[in-house]
Amino acid sequence: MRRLFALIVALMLWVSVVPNASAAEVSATLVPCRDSAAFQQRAKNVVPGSSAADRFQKYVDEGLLCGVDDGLPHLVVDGHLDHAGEFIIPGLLFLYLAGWLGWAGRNYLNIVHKSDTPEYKEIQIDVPLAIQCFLGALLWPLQFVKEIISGEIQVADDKIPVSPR
Amino acid sequence: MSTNFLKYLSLAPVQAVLFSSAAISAFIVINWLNPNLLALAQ
Repeated sequence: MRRLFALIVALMLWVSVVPNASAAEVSATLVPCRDSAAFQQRAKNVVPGSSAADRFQKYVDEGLLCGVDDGLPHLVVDGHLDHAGEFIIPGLLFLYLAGWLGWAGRNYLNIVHKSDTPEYKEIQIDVPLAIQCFLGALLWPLQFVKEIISGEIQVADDKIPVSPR
Repeated sequence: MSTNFLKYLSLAPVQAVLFSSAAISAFIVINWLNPNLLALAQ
């Protein structure tokens, strides 16, 4: 029941906090870079053939939106799928990499805690084992779902040390 | 001798320094050779 309430609260927060993107609002301040006069002006100032020129061309090719006033590319981060490469994909990539590191570390600690010298192996890393943990954690989202369903991700209440009351 | 050195390299803080250095070096090299690789993955 507690879990259900937590889920409901999370959903309500999410629905109320995420603002509704308004297409009209976007077009008032942002235009495609190829249509932005200020952007064209900036693009003229870079040395032709330089990597900066390549980047300006890429802004146009990828359909980035530029500010009407400043002519600088702005990232659309409101979840529109046609701008997925600007925030959603890098964001998911970040979460995947962060989760990978965390999951590998957690695996390593779990394995090491079953060995004879757990504290020792936290100070002096068992590198072959750590590499194995990193490789094994590449599929961490699947393992996470599995552990959530099986309840393996939680420790039983009676295993949690509490101070005497 | 070499095992002692390997033990030293296995110390957690040493590993942290080594891996951070390797990661930032990879970033610097990619940014130097092909900076556009780091932008606009779409």
